[in-house]
Amino acid sequence: MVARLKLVMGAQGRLTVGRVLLWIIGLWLAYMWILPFVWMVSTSFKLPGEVMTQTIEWIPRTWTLDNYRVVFQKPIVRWLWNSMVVTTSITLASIMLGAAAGYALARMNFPGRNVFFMMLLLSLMIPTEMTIVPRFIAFLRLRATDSYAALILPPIAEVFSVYLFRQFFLSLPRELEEAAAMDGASRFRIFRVIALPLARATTIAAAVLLFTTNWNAFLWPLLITFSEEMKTLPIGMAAFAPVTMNRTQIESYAPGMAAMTILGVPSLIVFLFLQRYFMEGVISTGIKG
Amino acid sequence: MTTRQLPADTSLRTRLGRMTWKGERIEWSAYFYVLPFFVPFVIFTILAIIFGAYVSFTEWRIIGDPLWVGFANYVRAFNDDFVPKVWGNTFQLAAIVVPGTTILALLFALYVNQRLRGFTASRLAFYAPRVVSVTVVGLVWVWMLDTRFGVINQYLHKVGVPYIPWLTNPDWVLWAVGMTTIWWDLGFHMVILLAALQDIPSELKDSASIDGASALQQFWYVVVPLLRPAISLVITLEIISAFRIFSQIFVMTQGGPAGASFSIIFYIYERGFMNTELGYSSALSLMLFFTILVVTLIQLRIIRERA
Amino acid sequence: MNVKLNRRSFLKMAGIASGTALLAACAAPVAAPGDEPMAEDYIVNHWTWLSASDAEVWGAHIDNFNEAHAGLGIQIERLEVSSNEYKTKVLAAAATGQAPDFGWADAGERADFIADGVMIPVEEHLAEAGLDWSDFTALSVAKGRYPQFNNQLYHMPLDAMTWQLEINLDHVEEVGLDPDSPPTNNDELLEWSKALSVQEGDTVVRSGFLMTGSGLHVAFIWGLVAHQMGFRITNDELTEVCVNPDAAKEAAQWTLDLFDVHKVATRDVSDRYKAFGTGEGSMFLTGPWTLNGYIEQGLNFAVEFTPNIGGELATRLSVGSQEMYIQEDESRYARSAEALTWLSDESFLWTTQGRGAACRQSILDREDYKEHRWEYRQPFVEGMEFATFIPPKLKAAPDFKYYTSPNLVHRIIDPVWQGDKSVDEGVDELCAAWEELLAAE
Repeated sequence: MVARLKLVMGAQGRLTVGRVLLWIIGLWLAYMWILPFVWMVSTSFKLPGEVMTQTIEWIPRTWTLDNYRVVFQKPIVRWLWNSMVVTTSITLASIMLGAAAGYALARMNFPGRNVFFMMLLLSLMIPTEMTIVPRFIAFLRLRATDSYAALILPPIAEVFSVYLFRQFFLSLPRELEEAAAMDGASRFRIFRVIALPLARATTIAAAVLLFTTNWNAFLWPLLITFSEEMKTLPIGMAAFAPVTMNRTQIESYAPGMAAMTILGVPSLIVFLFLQRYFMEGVISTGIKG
Repeated sequence: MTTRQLPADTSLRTRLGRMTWKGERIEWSAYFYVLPFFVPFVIFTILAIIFGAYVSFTEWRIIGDPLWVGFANYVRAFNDDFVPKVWGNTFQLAAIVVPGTTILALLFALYVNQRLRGFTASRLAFYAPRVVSVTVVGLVWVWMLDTRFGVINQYLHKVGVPYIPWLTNPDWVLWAVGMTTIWWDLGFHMVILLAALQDIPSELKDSASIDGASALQQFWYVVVPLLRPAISLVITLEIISAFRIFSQIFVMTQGGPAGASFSIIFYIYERGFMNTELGYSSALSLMLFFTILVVTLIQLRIIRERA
Repeated sequence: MNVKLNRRSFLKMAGIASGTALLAACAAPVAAPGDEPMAEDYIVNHWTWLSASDAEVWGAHIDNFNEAHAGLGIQIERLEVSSNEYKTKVLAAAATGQAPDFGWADAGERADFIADGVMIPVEEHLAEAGLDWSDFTALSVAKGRYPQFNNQLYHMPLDAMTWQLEINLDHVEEVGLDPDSPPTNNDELLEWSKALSVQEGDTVVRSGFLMTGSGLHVAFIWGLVAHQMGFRITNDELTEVCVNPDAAKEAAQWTLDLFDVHKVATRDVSDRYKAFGTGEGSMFLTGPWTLNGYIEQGLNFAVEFTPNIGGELATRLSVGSQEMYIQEDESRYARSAEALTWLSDESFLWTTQGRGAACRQSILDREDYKEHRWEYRQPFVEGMEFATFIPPKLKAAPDFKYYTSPNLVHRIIDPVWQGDKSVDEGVDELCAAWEELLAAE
């Protein structure tokens, strides 16, 4: 009995009441943790009239796609496209810029290195929101509001990315690179052929972090986009929030949950497929202070 | 082409090549690595901050030119009754979110680290909210926290708890936003702690248990000190993000009821972008920056001193 | 690590993808699939912040225009901008010479925009386009004029909205009240409110008289009652604030008493529309934009005139209208005026199925004007007679309104409803703040 329980739990070592409890509580918590998503999906298939019920109904009484029809009246394919373009560009650009700058800061000797690094450290503490008014004004003056440039350019200089890569390259033993240098390899070749490939885990971790952060970016896209065509997915979908100022949607939560399902489920699926790379990437790199 | 170069050039090149910095040869090519990052960084962050500081000394309604008003915006901020209120709200939120997330993230990480069956699924579940947009998180929770029809109150009601006005009562709303934030943000911090936990050599723990230390003692005297850098990082990141809470407020409450959930950034947004007071809004941003700076420094100090 | 990604192809892919994305993004900022208008059409840009069920009717109205003008070389492009950032975005667009041609507004509440120079007077442009100004109701035109700007007209009225009392008939039946004699004065209102309220122990679980616990709706109720009691935000000449402040204090006490003494309203309501729609409230003072939603939802309710609570019957009037924004190319005004004239001439749909009462006498006089859902619309249309409660036409108007996004009024008055500030303190503080704003005009 005990042996079987141990097998089911995948537990090693001594089996105590504590560990069995821990196992049960942990699984229960994980289950609770995803219930909001289940509730979201369930509500999205309910008839708007059957949403406000006095008892909890996890399964819709009547299944309907009407809510999705309401949501698809908005140009959400366009918003999805915008989000993809914007987020992918920012992620790739800030990884490349971050890897190069991080490598130089970790490995190369040049005047200004410490000043650069100090600037980075300080700016980590600056809330990016502080730069929003000036950025807004700048893009206004350049007549470049409501454009991809306005959505993509400001966030590409991501300090966190430089920081991650610098920490990683510092932790890397120098011997490999020194040997290559002896063989006459140029600095760029060393960076490209030796250092970067070793940083694959850091790259993936950074990519996932940057991607999720930018995919979810809210305030800046909210302000800088004007037309429906330029909105990103989170901004467009925020129109389904029942809390707007003057004239609210009286039409209950069902379409809102349909919108949120469309918005949330794709990223959950992508994450499901990439999670192994990501978890291992994060765990095996320097994001631990 | 490359073999025949002018003598002057050659000498400049060699001279540059021989120059040193801090006793080592300078690698001039470093600037090619650094500048692609630093040019946009300086433009969009450093210059933006400097310009923002300038705007905070002006009055500006977007149209026309900014009007220099000296310290008027700061004077106004110190006389604005709402400033202490939004700062207070934000501190309260931080007081809920920072310890809440840190402690829960640590517990979750410890559980996952036991590698009991199903731990990968649990790890996935705990991280999942972080993957979706805050818009989703906010809206789903608004629906779940609905006083009458929300699933949370309905379950609580079953066990005899009266309906809690989560989002409609000034005393509850920060708890509601805080809970939502913890649910959203916990996974990320759990992973950081998990990474640190896996770095703890098992020999250390083994030797401790041979010495007869109980699990709790072992945790407190062996694990926690080794986790301190990671915990410190988690707390720092948490503080910074707690002071920047915006999207949840925007989607869930718009600052209400009675301004009880107005966060600093939401006030900055409301002043600047709903009421076009860019100068005042910039002044508030600068005050927020100094607040974060001070709080972070204090926090780092406390944790370092105890280390 | 068992990440199987070919490094070379990964790097190459990454480089190419981000390079092209960035280039494409920067080179052609607004080029996008799906927004290629027909080359020959002249596009009039229209911004709107309508967002509820009325937005759909408005969209249909614009679509009708475009259909009627297909092949005639003029089309309207409608853009929904959130009411939160509407002003900022109009200002930002105007600052860069990209302002929309016309947009939604409440007539008479835009003195700030006029002072900023982003709006133009509309009377002549529209007359030249053939709009018959003599057909408009006097009230609606008067609301769009600004005395401090040469009494110029800056708004083309589309619909006049009044605030009236919606009553949940299921609740009325349940407690045995007579739906044919709705409350008309303070005593009757209190009597009905008490009868309709439901308490569980000490807490109100159904508000007989629905109010939010903070923010714009409760402030509006207070403001309206104060107005009925004789309080004026400013005098008619706009030279003095807070005429008869004691009435404002009396009204604030009246409002507080609904929560605490009579216990006919709970503070735990923030979404008033949802609360009335789900039966958490029985009587609800609101405007005609709510009708479509509640009727389609199947709610059993009636609309009655706003009761005379304070002694002088009055209710809020808001005139939905269009305003024209400044353009670098002045020739655009004529085409916009052409479009606006059509939108007004054909506003039958909007003023029957959309919201509000028509501002054109010729439409009000039509036989079929009283067909569509008239039993619900009638009080909103006929109640215009006593809709005299309007915000002052000041530059700082946004801070002199009750029924608006969070502003000075709510910041000062909300603590009164929460019991953190006395009625006297709240009103005095508000009057002092208004005094300051008026001095700065």
